[in-house]
Amino acid sequence: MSTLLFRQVRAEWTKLRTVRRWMLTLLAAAVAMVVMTLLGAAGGSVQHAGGPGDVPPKGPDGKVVRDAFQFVHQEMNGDGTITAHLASLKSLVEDGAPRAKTEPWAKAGIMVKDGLEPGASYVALLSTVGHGVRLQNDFSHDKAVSASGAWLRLTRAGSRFTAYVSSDGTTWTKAGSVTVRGITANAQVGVFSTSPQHSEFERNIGSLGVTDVPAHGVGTFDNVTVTGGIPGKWTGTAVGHSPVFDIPGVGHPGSGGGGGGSSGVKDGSTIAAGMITVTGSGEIGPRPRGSDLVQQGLQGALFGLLVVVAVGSLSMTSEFRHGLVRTTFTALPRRGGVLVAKALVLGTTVFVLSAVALAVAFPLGQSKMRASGFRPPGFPKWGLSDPTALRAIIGSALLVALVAVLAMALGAVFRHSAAAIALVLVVVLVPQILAGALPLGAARFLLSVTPAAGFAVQQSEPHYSFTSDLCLPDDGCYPLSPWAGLAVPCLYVLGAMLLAWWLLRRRDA
Amino acid sequence: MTRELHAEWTKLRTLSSTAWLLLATCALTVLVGALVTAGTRASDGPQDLPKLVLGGVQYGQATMVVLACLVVGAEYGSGTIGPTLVAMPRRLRVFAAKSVVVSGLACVVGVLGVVGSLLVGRVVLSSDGFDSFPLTDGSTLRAAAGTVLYLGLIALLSLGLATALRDSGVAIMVVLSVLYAVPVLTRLLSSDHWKWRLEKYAPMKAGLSVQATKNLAALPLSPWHGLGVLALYALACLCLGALLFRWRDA
Repeated sequence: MSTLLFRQVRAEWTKLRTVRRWMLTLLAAAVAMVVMTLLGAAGGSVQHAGGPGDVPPKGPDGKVVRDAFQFVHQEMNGDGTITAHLASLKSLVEDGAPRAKTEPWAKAGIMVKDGLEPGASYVALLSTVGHGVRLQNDFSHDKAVSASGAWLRLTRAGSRFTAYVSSDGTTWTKAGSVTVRGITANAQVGVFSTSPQHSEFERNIGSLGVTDVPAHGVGTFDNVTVTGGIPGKWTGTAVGHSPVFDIPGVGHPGSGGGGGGSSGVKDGSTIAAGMITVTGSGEIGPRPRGSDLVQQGLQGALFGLLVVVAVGSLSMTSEFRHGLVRTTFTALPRRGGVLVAKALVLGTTVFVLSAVALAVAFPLGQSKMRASGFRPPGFPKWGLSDPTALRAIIGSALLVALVAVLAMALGAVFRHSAAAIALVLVVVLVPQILAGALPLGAARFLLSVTPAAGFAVQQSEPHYSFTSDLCLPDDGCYPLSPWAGLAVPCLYVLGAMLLAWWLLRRRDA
Repeated sequence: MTRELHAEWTKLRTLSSTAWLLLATCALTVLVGALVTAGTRASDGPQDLPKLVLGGVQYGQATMVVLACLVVGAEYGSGTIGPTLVAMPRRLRVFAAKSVVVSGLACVVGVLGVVGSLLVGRVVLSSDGFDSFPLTDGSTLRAAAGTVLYLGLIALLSLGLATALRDSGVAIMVVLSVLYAVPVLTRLLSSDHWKWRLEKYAPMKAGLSVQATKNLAALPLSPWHGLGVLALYALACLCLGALLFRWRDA
């Protein structure tokens, strides 16, 4: 069996290798990837590259984060517990009609933080206006723990933090726990409140308008108790508000502007008679998706993909057209094996070619983008040695190879290159175009179930659903995580291969 | 010329794939338009309703491209181009006959698809809670007629390119890539200047601006100018195809 497969693979490799047109087309695909990557990287410009004075904060893992909120805090030495009753949580959107709009991600809650520097490690148990009670830590970790609950409690034991939620302050239910090692023994604990800007957007086919309105979160707490702290010494601090910064190149900055605004709402805190009222604005979370340099530096893959679709389908359909398939099946009668051998040869060849082409194009594109302003501190510097960039490159090459194999398998199904090419291009490209026209939910669905979902592997950062940022297809945001996204075209290839195998066995050649 | 027209019409009519592709074009246009409309809620904000309803043509055009490319590509693939040219040696006339038949069919299917989309779309819209739009309004009529012409022009563009390339598979790939890949690229381009330029002059974007009925001032090209840009592309492809068809060995 294995020697037969080996013979089939060798036969297919000889067929692919000796048709000069295909080899030239494959080389053209590689060249197209490099050229289109460079073209896509050229000509960009950044209006605001970020001077040395407003360096965005970096989280515990070294990534750029947003960290802006109003914090009323005291010091807690070692282990201890903070309990608070969130009497009310309001969202104030600064707009013409007062109280007409609310920001669902306005939040207030209790927090243990490693100092007051923006970007310091933290654990927070917070309530949001529209998304329930959540346990968050270190900017990129989030867990929805409860739908409601006004009493919040956070207990520290070493590096273990346990959250409890209660609706009446007497019966507590454990809501979850996390281990965070980055918080030192002298931590700041207290209550906080904040709200990202309220974004409204209007989508039409091909056009997108986003308006950001400043918003404030107002949390009113009572019965705030801390064990292990110094009693009664509350201090109010606006964490991360000066200097005000905007991360450059971001379409819809979610990071809060400074305190105060035209409508007279001021960020700050009041402490009176056991009541603590905190008004804050800003966002605590990962950096918003802006210009994804990795994704932008791999655009050539799309064009290489278009070219290899032709080679993939022709490698199968030309056998039918010229009657060569009868010779092939006479020499090697195991038809399933022929299909597998073709897939292996085509897939491997295309993968190696695209991986090499993209690995060559990526550093060139990055240096070009750096030259036009996409450089630190506002933007991360990507090189071939970064695991994320490497994953995106290998993933893109895999995606191109998968689509080539899909075209081949569909070529066996239709026995006609026109139909196979048209179908592959339609299922890979059209969802991406249609996604710009559909309502968000339908667009995300489309980009999760069609082979276009595979492009998620090119994103350097996944979309975090627990922030106010929108995953807009118009910005090139794909809803799935990188590898889950790549699994979708894999399933399509598997399905097409099975169908092709069944039809090849059943049909006359 | 009537002889050539008659021959081309017979060749196209007697292929079973023609009927299927035409049906698919019509069905996709109506169906996708209805789906997109059904997914939109009145609460999503004000919408350009005729454009929304007619959006299905973005899908339906794919099968039209396939048909137009096959009209000439299949003749080269199967070798019937030889007998065709022996029977009718005036090549430009053959090419003109092919163009007339294909664009005529595209327009007929376009009319069916557009009327179907508008009627189905109005039903869906009323169930979505939108106020319906008038059918005989000047801008709606322009969007409807423009969509029909758009489909015809896309068919001519594909025919011209397929004649130049002499292979239906490659021609389909090239046309669909130009139509669909350019908007995808535009999204990711880092330069706003180029983005804007591509949005203005890409064949699909420019041609479909004829569907706009609202906010015309914000368009990079006015509706008829946009369709004109597409017409120029189609004309260029037709000329290229005609020249090569005339001067090259078959």
